[in-house]
Amino acid sequence: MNRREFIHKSLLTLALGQGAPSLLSKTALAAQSRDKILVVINLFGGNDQLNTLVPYRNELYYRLRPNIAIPRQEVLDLGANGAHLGLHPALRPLMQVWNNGELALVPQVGYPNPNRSHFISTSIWHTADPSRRQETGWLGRWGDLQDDPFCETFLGGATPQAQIGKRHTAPAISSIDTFSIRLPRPFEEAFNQEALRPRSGTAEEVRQAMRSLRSALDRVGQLRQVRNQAQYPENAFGRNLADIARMIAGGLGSSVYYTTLGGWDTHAGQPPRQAELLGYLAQGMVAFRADLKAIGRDRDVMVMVFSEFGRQVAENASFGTDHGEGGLMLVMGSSIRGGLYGSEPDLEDLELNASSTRPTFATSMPLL
Amino acid sequence: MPRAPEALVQQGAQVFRAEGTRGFLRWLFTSEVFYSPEYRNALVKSPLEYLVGLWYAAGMEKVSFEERSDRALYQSLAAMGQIPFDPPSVAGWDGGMAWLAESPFLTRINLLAGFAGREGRLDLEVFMDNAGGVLSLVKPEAQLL
Repeated sequence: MNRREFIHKSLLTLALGQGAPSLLSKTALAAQSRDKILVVINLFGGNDQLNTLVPYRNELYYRLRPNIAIPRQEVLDLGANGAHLGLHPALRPLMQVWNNGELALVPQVGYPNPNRSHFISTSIWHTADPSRRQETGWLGRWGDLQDDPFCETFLGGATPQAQIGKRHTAPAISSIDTFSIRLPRPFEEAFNQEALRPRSGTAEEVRQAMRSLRSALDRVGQLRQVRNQAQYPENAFGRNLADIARMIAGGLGSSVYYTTLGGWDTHAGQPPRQAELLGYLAQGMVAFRADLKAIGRDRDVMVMVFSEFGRQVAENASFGTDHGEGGLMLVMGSSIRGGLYGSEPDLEDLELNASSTRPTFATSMPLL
Repeated sequence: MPRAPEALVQQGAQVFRAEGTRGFLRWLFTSEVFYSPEYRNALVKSPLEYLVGLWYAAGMEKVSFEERSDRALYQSLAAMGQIPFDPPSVAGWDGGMAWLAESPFLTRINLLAGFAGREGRLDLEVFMDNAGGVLSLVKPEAQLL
């Protein structure tokens, strides 16, 4: 792409993103640079911010959460730079990242007039359009302007709306090692032949899917020899991050990788469940970071973690929390400016309203 | 997906009001237009429709979970994106072309290996249009209703 094309496409992206939260448009733009890579992790279900980034010096926190608050002595203090908030003990692996200045914590990220439905809120995050007029995703719109179908990749079975554009949909790859055709030779040859024979209507759409699959098999097949340089936790999320590292190391060429860790909708019995999930998240993230450092790519990769909303300040009657508004965003990378973006949450605002406590998308821009 | 002509929708609504669900379904499934070419091969089979369709074409009357190969096929529904009675959210499954994202589509194609040896007992006419021999299973039409 020459300079003129680049500027043209950039302007188009800006135009398409009009009214979209600026962090996302800006992030999509940053992804234009060939060697820089964005990894997006979606914590689906609504992670409880207050038990993740804990306001453990605030009496009100303990008063409103008599059963599920993180005990003071277990909280990992973030020091003066973290406004004396603390991390959930399951996030201990991330402390070294924080101390190195490679972790940014952005509390109460959201959008005006928050919606507490998982679907609507997730959709707003995916389209980056609080007015809900856009049907395409913020990354999909960027993907529409790229030539390479693998400009972005989803690790999992069903591409999220964020990565669906008008004519581009990010390839969905569940795992590198199982991604191969295992059929008797004549079947595979017939499959290749059928993919070349144009159809009409829905059959033609299926044929296009066959062509995408065929080219994905060829591209991803080359990655099977690539080995990880770090030990990942033995769970689906760990395996997804391990595969993303292999895709980066093997030169798949995506500027954006996207994956999901679900199960955060903790209306009941929150403490053990959230601790388990936060453990998966932290262990996966530090393994990924170690892997990238080992191959010398850590300065090129930024990991962004978000959830569709946070949860209410007060606990409910089932040792859980109900849907709230702003949520915690985590950003990790060797070339970001780590630290806390925004201030201690106002617990008097029982719904943790994002707009009342300012730090929205825009605050995060100095990171990039 | 093609949209039904307005006149047909009105006619269906009339039958529905006059004869209820059963009458409506009878009208729907026995009307000529339901089988006309322009409405065929317009929907992507869900993983369940795909797998049950294949089993039906293979003449299977019941599936035995004691049988390793049957169990493996049933379990492949998860990789195809549809665990029965367990949709990803209360909104259900996305459906349509979303069923044919790379990894779930690959699972559909790979499970055909389990039917490769059953040519003799495979009645593909009940499974898809344009069938001619077992290799037809990799045609686009095999994915469609």
